[in-house]
Amino acid sequence: METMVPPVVLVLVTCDPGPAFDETLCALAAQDYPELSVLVLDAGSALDPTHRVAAALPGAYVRRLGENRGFGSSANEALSMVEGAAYLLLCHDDVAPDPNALHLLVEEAYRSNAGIVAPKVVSWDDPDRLLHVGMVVDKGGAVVDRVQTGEIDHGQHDSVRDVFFAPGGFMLVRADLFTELGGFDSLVFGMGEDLDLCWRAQLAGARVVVAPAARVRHLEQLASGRRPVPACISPGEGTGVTLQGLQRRHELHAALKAYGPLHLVRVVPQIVVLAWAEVIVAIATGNRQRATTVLHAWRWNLARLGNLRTQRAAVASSRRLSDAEVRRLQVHGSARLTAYIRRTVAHGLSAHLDAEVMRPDPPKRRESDAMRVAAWVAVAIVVLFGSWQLLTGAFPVMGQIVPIPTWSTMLHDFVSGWTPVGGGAVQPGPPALGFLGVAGMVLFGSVGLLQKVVVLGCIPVGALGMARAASSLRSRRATLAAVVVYLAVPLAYDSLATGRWDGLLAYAAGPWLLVCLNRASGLEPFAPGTASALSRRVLILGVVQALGASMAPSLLVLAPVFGLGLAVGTGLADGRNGWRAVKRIVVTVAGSSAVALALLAPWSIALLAGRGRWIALGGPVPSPGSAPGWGTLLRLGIGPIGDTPLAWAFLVAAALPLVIGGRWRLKWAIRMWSVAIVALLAAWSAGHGWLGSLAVPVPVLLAPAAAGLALAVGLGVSAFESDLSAYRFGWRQGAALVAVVAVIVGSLPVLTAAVGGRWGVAPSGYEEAVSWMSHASPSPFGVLWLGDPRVIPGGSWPIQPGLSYGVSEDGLPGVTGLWPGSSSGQAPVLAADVGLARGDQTVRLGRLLARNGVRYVVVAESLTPAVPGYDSPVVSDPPADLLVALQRQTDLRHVIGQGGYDVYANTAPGIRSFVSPTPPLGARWIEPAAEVAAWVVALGLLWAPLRRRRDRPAVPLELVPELSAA
Amino acid sequence: MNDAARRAAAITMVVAALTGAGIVDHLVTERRAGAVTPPATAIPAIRVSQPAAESSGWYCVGGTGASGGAPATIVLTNTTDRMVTGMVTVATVGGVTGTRPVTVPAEGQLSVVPAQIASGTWLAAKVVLDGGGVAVSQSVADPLGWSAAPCSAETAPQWWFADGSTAPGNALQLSLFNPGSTDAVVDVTLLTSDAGRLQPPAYQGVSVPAGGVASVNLVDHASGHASMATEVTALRGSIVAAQLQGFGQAAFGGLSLNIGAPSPSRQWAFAQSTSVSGGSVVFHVFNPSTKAARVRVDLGLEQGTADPLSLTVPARSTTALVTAQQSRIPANMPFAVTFSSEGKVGVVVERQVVSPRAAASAAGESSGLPGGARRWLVPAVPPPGTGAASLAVADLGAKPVTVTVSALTVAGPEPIAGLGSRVVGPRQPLVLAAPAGALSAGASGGASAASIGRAALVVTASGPVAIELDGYPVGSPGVTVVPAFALS
Repeated sequence: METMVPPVVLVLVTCDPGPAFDETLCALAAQDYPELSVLVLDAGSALDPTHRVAAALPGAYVRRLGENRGFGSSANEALSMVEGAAYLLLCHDDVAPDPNALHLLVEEAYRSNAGIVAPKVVSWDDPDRLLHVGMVVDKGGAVVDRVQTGEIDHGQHDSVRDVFFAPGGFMLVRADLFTELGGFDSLVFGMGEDLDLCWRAQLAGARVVVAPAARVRHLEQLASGRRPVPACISPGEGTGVTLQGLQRRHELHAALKAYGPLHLVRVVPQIVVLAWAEVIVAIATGNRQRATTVLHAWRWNLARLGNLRTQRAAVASSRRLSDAEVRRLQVHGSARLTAYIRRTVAHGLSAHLDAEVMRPDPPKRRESDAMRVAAWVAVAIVVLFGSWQLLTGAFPVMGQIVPIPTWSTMLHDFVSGWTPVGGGAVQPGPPALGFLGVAGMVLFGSVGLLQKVVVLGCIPVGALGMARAASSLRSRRATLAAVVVYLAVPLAYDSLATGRWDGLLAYAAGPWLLVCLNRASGLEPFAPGTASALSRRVLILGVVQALGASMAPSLLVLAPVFGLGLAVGTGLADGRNGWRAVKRIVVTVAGSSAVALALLAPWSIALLAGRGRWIALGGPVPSPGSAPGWGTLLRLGIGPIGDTPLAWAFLVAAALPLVIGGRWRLKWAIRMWSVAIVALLAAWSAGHGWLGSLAVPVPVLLAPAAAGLALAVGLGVSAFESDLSAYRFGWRQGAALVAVVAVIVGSLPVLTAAVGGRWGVAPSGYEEAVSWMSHASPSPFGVLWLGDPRVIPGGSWPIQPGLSYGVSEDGLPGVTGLWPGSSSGQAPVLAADVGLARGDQTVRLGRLLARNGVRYVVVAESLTPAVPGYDSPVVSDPPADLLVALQRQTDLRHVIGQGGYDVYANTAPGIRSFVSPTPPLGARWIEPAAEVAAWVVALGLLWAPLRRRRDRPAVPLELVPELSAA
Repeated sequence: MNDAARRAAAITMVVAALTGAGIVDHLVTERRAGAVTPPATAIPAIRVSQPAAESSGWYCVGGTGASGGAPATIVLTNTTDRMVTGMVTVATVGGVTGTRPVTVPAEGQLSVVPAQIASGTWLAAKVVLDGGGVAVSQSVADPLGWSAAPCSAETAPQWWFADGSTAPGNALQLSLFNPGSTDAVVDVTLLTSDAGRLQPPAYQGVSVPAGGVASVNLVDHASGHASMATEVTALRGSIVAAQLQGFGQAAFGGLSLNIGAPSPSRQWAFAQSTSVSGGSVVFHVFNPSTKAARVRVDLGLEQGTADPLSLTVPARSTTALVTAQQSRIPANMPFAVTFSSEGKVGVVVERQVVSPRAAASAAGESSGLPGGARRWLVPAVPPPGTGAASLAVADLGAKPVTVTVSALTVAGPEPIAGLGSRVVGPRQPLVLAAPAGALSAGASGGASAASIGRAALVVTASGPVAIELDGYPVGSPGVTVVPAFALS
């Protein structure tokens, strides 16, 4: 039967083929293309491959060339040997195409009217890993791959598109085009002949496309180092030329040859400047080989100026498109410079020099590089501008943002096992004291700077965590969107404005916990990993939890909330298939929580063994009457910034991946929504007191919701890039537009709040309101703070829902009061005294408080003292009977009764000293020593694999771009 | 499961979760907002602290010194079985001038005359006791008659009086006591039935020195008003306020001492009133809030029933309920009245009674009880009272309650013989009349009906009740009321 397909001649160039050659031949033989002829050109193999070819391809014609002149020159033999073919299929001797690969390439060539068609090239050993899906260059000819190293093939690149050039391992070329171009450049012996050919083809008006439906496995023996660079590949230069050297000189050669005069004048100076800069940096950092490589590229090309002129004339004669038209497919800027900067930022100068890997982004991504950088800069500017007053001034004392003592005091308290909580208590020192003490020491004792770092630093840490979490989306736009949304949700700024440090810490830790759990799940796109990998994830997650919980114990609930959300979401998304992942999540959460508790021991043990364990974990229960409603929670706005209907918009944006997402993106969108809903329900329950004594602060529980929704937005962008094209034009495209508008609208409240420069934080706190006390009273004296736990500065203990008490020494409470620990000192006695007054059991509360050194009673009714007409802080009234009871006391003098707080001075005689005597340093040295030892062990376990990885030999630059192989 | 099914399930789940949680939140919020408000109970100002209390304090104001015309006597009634010590500090306009330690015998009473401790026209006293279980009241007397009022167990920044009269021939004095250690500044606002709201400059910014007393003669700048409510607001500090009202002349007049209400209440109860022919009983309802109050007036008759009345009291105004004009209130028959404000708007209610008989103590003003209690303490009728006319108990609940009346004796509360336990129907007044002249007859020995008025009484009920003890000699029931204290 007569076939109706164009004839194709397969030009297979061999040179000492390895064991994989037989598989290559079998794969070629298995092609389902009916009009295929095979021409084998053996470039000087020591052993005649004819019999091997004949065994697999009996109809193939083998021609031995006698010497290895490089792939291009060898393939050019086809120009004289082949006639009547519509297409030439040029391939290496270490490729294995799928049976329908050629068929699909020819189909696409006809469909796209392309001159050159490339398949999707995947790893020989692991076909799930992509090698190339077409390639691009920058203006200087530097090659940029469209895929990242080791990128898993999820179909994310499975769309036909124009590329700048097709990798040479398996390339379908229209035969007349190949002839018109004169074949490959004979000066290019390897590493770049495909770039040169395709560039000239572009100029000649031919399309170069990639057809990912056609898949080819490629061993890349030369590029991967399995095959040495043959001496003959660079005649007259010996074996000293590296693959990197070949690549650089051929890239430069292609650029010098292809550009027209105008572009050449414009581009060459840029290439020269960058080359010299690269040489200088390479020499400065001791990388002589790199400098040599760059210089060799120029020397080699300058030595062939004559040839170059001839070749430029040939290009000019075949040119049909201008340089400007061809450059549409090039990436902007310098790919090499961008890669250099990125790696320097990420790994430091030394890491960059030895392990520079130029795997720049795919072309369309690169096109938006400038926009992305601008977006990142804009985000940073907004955050910095919004915080500038806080960065340049001092924090007001409010909520949990309270003064930090000197680093020596904190370390002393940590080591001595004594804290001034409740007038002084001996107990295992909170690890946070150790961390903050060391940090304060590193910052040369600047506790003001330390406070800025630990408070404001939570915002960028959270953003970095979200960037890390969103990096799995394999889309930089998606990552940017997720980070922008995470930064734009009002949670962090409302936490700041309402003095909730624990909310900020949860905001910072949330994305990092999510990263660990997502990876531990082993769900696509994450590899399941081994048991040891899971153990490592458990350890990492445990360390992150411990770090967070040391500062705010309530953060211990974050991992279970994330885990529950992920488990529920996995059940919904995967059904029974997700059972294994759910088990991994459960194991990870349980294990990491155990690790965290172990790292925080003995403080954690003392905490959880005490009677007030739930209070120590979650804090006092606020008044249920002031619990945020469901709408407030959905807006993630628990303070002044999120108190606007605009904050609803992020919910709309986060819904996009549920609507348009497909495959793993849809599944992860379900999981992220599940995380968000579980966290929101938990926050609602906690706010209404439905969790009993475990009153985890609402801002803490909202952090997983914020992370989940932000990542859902990122998934929406990823789905927009990958899945939307699968739908016909319709309402889904409209939904994407709505989501974009929603993100913009949702960001407005935070953008507006940034104008003030302090995120709505009150200009002054209780520091001025109580500063007079130390002048009026002999030190040390105690101050009893009463009010809703959300407005009492520092830590507090509960009396009833909505009423707590705290104790401070000489006026303001300090940060040490935030970790109540297992012992609350004499504080409960004070609470009992207040109970007597409220129960109409005494009118001499002052006399009772005097026994414990309390000179002042402060009733906080607002987060900060209010200045009428100037400042309207968050108000949370204490129970009505409290002020009545205090007014009834005959030995309490009402000193201040306006501005959102009341102060009563104790007029009872004989007020005792407030503070218990401090035990000697090191009286309980075993406990802090145990804590330090636990951290050393944990960090050691984490460090060992990192060190092994670092000690592994770095992949040389020249092996990575994988322009052409064999 | 393919993507389409997965997508549908996910969107359904998300919508259901968000909507469901929203509905639950709405229901919970509504339930919280519409939660049934607990029944009103007696405010702390007239509640006796628990016997085990570490200490307790009372503030007495309104009486005069020896030279003031209506000298006060402070009565301390100990309900505990142990004696209670304490200190009485007497203050004058200039500040604290004298203290005296006191010891109140177990289950007994102690009278202290401030004028014996300090001298001055207007006196006030702070009583601080080393324990609880002691009620402190005071009585005043002058040629117009006598009156008794509770001392206050608390200070407050605001006080309200529903009624007062500066009509020709009447005297109305407002006494302010600042037991704190910083000066207080007070504004006095008057709401008259004829001239509306008055804020005479002389009554604005009244300084009450720390530990001292200030007296404002309301006749000076607001004379000629038959009825007016008074609002006392401390701009700074916390005070106690009382009004001393004088009616007419000695031949036909009266004297009333009233402690103000430190907060409006949703319920006010008067256990016994009698609309005597020729006399008058007028209830003045004062709404100090900025919202109109709808007040339901429940009438309790000894026999039969009467439909409740309904009043609307506009914001910041008063309304009078004249019983003689209400056909459903029978004349010359005791009845109980309960004023219940609907919603969250509190009111203040006082009763003005005028006897048809020309005599001393022929007119009087008394406050109702702001809510009910299960246990009440009524001190004995103070001098110059001559005895108890009647003890009335009114059930404030919807079910019958069993009431037991005991006399406080050295041996403890002893049920009064002959009275036993009585069952009182809902809203019905139970009027226990003391034998006429029992006190003057000098009856003694055991707790009998004769003990009513002679000894302090403890009334115990199985539900919330209000009580009222009328004292002799009076021209009409309700003119002179012995204050009652709620017991914890």
